[in-house]
Amino acid sequence: MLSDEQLVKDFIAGRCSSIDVLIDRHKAKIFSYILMCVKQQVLAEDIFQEAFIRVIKTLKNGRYADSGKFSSWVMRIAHNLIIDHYRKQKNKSVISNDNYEYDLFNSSQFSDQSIEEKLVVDQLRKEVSMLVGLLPDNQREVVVMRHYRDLSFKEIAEETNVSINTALGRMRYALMNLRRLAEERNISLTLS
Amino acid sequence: MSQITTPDFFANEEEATYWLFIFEQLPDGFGASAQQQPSAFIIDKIKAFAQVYQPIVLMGKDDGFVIN
Repeated sequence: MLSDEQLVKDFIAGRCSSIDVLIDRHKAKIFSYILMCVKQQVLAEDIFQEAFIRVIKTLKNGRYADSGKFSSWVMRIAHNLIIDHYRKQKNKSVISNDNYEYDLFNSSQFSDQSIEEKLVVDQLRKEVSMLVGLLPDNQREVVVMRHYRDLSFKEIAEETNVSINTALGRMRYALMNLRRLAEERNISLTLS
Repeated sequence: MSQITTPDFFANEEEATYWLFIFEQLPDGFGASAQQQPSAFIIDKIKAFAQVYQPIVLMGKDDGFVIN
């Protein structure tokens, strides 16, 4: 088993698979540290990703000075990112609503949906779902990936093995077809 | 008068430093069996970045570009 120092040297020399080994070896501990501090999975993943991107850039730019354990170095980078995050949060203040004469949030835009609104939204969702089911397979696939799985067009293109332009084109045709299908069936796709 | 409340970020920073000290003493394999791990998607993205990132020197400064 190669040491961290050897793997770093190999990566700097151009062997990209070495960084994969380093990431797999240390990801659990580094992620555990970040998660222990920030306590949120998504934020921890952002910081984790940013830390390793900085590691990769530093190594590839030849700015790494081997002065200790690789994992300690990465954790220090993560630590600094965590501190940066806290300092950005510090600039955001939270204001209490209690001491105003009127309740700022007593407005229909902040209230829960009425039963009628819920029924309308549910019905609309079912109709949209039905119309999406009528689309050709490749267009339906793009719509589902974009709007139900929240993937980017780049991710959709990679998963379906097409170019981004093709994925975008399929979405465009899907939307045109959805509008046409809705018109044919006299379905209104707006909330009013 | 409005009440402005702010979490104790100084305590958060101290806590992060404390945990850094603790984690630096732990063995490298720590956390391997933890339930919460970074998602496979994130790991794959980082590894892919390592493959495609190319360093360059731009106007005297270290920079880089990604071959997409």
